[in-house]
Amino acid sequence: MNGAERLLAACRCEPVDATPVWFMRQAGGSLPRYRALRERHSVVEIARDPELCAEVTCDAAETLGVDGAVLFADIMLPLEPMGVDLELAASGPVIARPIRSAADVDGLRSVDVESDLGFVLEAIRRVRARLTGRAAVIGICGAPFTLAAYLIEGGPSRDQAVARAFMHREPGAWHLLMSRLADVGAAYVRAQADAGADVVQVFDSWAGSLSAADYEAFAAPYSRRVIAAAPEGTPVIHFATGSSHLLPALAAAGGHVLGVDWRIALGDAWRSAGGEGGRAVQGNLDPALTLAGWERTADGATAVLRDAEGLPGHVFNLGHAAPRDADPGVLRDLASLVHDVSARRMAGAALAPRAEATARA
Amino acid sequence: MNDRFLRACRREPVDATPVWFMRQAGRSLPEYRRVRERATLAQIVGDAALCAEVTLQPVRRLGVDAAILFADITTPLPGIGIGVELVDGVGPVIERPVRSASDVAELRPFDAGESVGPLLDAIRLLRGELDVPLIGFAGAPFTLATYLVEGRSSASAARLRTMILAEPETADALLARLTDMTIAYLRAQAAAGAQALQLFDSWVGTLHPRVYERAVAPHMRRLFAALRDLDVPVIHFGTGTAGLIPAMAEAGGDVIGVDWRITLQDAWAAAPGRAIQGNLDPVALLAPWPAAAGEARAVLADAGGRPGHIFNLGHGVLPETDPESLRRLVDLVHEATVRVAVPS
Repeated sequence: MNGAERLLAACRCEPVDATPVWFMRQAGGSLPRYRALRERHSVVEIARDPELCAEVTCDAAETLGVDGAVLFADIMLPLEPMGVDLELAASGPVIARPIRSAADVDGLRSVDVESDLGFVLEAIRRVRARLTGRAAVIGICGAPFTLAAYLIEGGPSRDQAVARAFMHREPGAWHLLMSRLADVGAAYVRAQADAGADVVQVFDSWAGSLSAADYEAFAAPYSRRVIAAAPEGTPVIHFATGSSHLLPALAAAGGHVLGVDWRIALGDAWRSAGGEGGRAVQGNLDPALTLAGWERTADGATAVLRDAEGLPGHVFNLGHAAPRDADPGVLRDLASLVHDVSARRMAGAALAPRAEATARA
Repeated sequence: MNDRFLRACRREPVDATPVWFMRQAGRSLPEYRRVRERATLAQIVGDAALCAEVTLQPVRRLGVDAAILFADITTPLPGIGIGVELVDGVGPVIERPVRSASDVAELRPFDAGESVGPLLDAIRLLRGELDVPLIGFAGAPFTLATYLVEGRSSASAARLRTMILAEPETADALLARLTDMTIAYLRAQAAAGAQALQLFDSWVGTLHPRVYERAVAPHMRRLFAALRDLDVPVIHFGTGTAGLIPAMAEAGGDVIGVDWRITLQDAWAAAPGRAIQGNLDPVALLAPWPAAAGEARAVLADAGGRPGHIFNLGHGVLPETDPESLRRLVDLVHEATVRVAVPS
């Protein structure tokens, strides 16, 4: 199996020869090729230039030996053509004028994905042509709630209190905003798939700040629209963090693969989401473990593979984005460990005896 | 003496559901903001009369069933040699973060009388003034350690979690020192007159249950065990704890405090036999009153009249909250849950 076949098969809960692996934010970070480009170009320049973007995306997939090439892009990119003044700072996106009223929502422009975000689509075509199946092309899209949270908060926040207050205080404006974001997201997902993305990951990174009832009322209908826009045959990974209490609702909103963070065991996540035969899970090594020394990283990864045993489909990933200072060598070794250990298991060999350190990890 | 809060902590019958709010003393109250024009937070905590006054403000205005001592969870830290600056808009900033075994070794033993004397005096003053119970509190060791290691508030506690995994002995020593401090701090508050205690493990929800069990729970067990002879109810609070409640409840606490992310029914299912505190989303109070009231009634319906429900927000009162909404919320909780008075 090549990487694309392996990743797609796991997303569809079909047999694989080894567990597929990729890492959120694998492109960028400490990779030498990316560091060299960053001396001459800003993050935004790289993201907006199809050639540079394709190069960074492919370089990461090939250097790390992973099965998925996630596009070097930010989930905030589609907001710019909506008229949002956006800066991608190291600490996260900064919105110059956050949305605070219904009038602000009315002021958002509609987006034509082909003309406004054509650089992303062109990058996808180039990545696909260059990788020829060695890794699946993974498109990305922010879920409406997470994008709305950034738009209203003005940047990252701990529990999105400003955005959630807006949601309760001005439900009319909230639903209008979410509807606009769902329109853009649906068109963006569709266009990425049409351009050649094999898989799309919908990031609802901040959904975990909502109760299940509020998620259902204020977020789920819009996520559902975005996820449903993916064409037949393009699996969607539906990812959220801090979502232990939200898994049935997230699963109900859609996605072939449920992406979870490090706070929960994969088997528990899958069962909590309803334990359906057709649903795969993605995750969930604590990103902090990539900085904790190789022995801990390896033990943690083995524990994750053990958690996933018996599940119908598993895509190995970190529980959230790779730390920017993660050593590319560690990520490469991690990908290779996931392949080796899972392939041995699938070939019928027993997992290596659990090291003493595993019990501590 | 209004004792419905203490009765609910013990899951005894009450005449109405007790209600208080985390951070009820603070920026949402105009009388607090007036105090802050002439005194910093550190000055308030260092002045028994002023601290008592600020603690009393919400009791007078809102009619809550409990007072909570006004302090910050970082208040005891200078007592072990940690410099803290409280920066408006940022929160506590640690002067020299704790990153190594030698940093941990340098921490001093904690002496409550020496370090937080005015706060203990404030408790004594308050007991003479209050007709509701007074809650003392402390940050739980893990949550305190996030500040010490990160240097400030951090959404994912990544540095501390990395330390727990990469240098478990250092993390364990740090948590042990903070546990020692917290035991001494809470015992001193109870000795001065605090009638209940709350442990804030606000950021514990960043942990996988297995890591909590291995790295944090042993310290929490020791902490709760060291408070048992005080015979005061202890509230064990955390946020984002959907996957952790069984482990937290096992570690200890007469009352389990939960945030708005989960239903109270689920909390009770995860911690049977305990009182549960919570869990109106603080942002609901920024919505127009009918919407806020609807959310509050939904919380009460979720509690379903079970013995041992203490109404609270899912986390602290947001500074922009209208105090009038808080006052109406107290009335709503009482009126909606009023029961035939129990013989005392």
